[in-house]
Amino acid sequence: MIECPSCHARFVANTLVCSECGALLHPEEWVDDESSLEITTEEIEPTAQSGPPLAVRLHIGEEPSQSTEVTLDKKLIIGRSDPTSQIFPEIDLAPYGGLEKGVSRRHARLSSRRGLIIIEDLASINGTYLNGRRLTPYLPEVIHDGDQLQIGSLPIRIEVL
Amino acid sequence: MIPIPRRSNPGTQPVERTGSVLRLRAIRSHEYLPARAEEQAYYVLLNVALRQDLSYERMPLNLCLVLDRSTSMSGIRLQAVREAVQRIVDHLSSDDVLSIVVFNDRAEVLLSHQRNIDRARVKAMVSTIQPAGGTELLQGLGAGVREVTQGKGEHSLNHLILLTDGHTYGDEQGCLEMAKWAGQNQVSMSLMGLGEDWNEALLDQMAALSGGRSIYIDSPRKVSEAFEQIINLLSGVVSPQTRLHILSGLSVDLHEVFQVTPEIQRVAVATTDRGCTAGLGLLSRDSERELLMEFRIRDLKPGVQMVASLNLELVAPGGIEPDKLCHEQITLNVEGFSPDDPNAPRVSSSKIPAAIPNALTRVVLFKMHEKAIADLEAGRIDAATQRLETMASRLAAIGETELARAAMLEAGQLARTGALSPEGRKRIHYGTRALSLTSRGKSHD
Repeated sequence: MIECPSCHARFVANTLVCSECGALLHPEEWVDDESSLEITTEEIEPTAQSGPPLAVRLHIGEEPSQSTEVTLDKKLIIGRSDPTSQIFPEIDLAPYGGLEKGVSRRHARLSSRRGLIIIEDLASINGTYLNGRRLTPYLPEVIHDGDQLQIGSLPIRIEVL
Repeated sequence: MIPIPRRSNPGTQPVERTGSVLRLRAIRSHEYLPARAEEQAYYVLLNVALRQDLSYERMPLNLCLVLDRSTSMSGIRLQAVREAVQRIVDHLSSDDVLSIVVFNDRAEVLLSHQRNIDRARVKAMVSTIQPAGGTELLQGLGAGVREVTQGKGEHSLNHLILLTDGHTYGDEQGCLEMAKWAGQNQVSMSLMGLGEDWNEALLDQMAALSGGRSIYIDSPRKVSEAFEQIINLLSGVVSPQTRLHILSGLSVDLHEVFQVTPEIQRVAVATTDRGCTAGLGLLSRDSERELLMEFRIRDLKPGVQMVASLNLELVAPGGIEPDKLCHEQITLNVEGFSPDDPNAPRVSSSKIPAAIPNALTRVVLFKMHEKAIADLEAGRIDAATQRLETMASRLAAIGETELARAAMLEAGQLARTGALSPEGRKRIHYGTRALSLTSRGKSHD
């Protein structure tokens, strides 16, 4: 049994939150959001099980947009680099006005699985939108050629290569 | 202990299965736990969603509207309801069946169940609804359930929307029995309370029994929006009945299950020969479901052990080709380690994904509210006041400042008068269950 340090109610071992007073019982063992991303970045199933890895061209910003090409041979973080916090996402939107456009440092994740291209919001403050619909954090969604993403308020059009 | 092949990299990372039309994703609290006799808690956050690229046909609706026309509905309230119904009529297709019942002390069938309705005629009919009398819920409910039962088609999605603004007296038990019967006969219900003077506990129980939901509408301006949300939800329904079978491992018990998305509520679990079954009701294409399960593991031995096998199945689906529908299964394991084992370095890096305590914090706030109300109803005013104050500080800590303020105000009100304000009571009741919608865990900046 463990005891709540706040209200002294007793619970089964490993209970995470005190149901009497709401106190957190094991905060030191939690993965904060960023390191939890590190864990989920690890593959359950290998990416690109067959054939060459998928590649996409991202058309970033309002038209005329700037484009960048990425290969989905691993999971790629979309975000905004922040040297102070030592955060350098693979797809860095800082040069595209990421800060002003509300892009989080670790905002979303782009990957491929079984020939599908997957986008996943990483509990970003300003959200990730797929064709105008806000994504549920941590719920991967399939994206297709021509789909319109919005990272914060920064639009990105997807072109599958 | 069940021998299970060890994966090279089990981790607490999400376990995901994507097949057929369903997508399951489970996040476990622990990858490793110390091997010991003492009981230990283990949590799983399960996300159930339908694939977004799914092509499906909308199930034909068999919808009954049961509308309170008691005197208290006079003026802007009844006008808002008339307008909302008139808008709903425009959303229906020729395959849909509609019936409308109005009630006060007695019920009147305004429109008997009918396919391919004459929209103009129905709108004109609705515009004639006039307020009078008191509120006897069972009168309206009974007539509505009869209509929706008679309007059933082979593959129809049967739903009853009830809107009331008043307390019903003396017929509560009958309402509960009617809701239970409806749930057992594939009729789900949306139970809407308008304003502050209705019985949220009764509507909640009816919703739970029928596999639907209760909805608080604080202003007549929001009636139309609430109706449309229900119609949109029903339009995306792929399975009118979804079930989760939970088979616990040896020395493992399922302690409790909560739905955390789309709104927090307890999930009733029935024990069967093959384990436990939780009815999840309607599964809609546009609204995924998230469940938080707590298991208790006893006498954990070193090695890998199955905690539970989760099997989700769609029942009586409509629209999709039946052969494309299948159940989806996820097996959850934990590895017991000896606390004395020097070769267990991985244990130190075994962390708990934040999504689980985030969801649990919200579930605990929901429970604290339940306990505060139970204290209040048992006359323990001081205990209820203290719980509300504690709730307020926890709500503030997770950034729910408005709800925190409401809880603090009600704690003050309770201490002064021994009762909650009707408005505050509903705001906190529905605010705590909507916590998963307003703030889903700590966000990144």
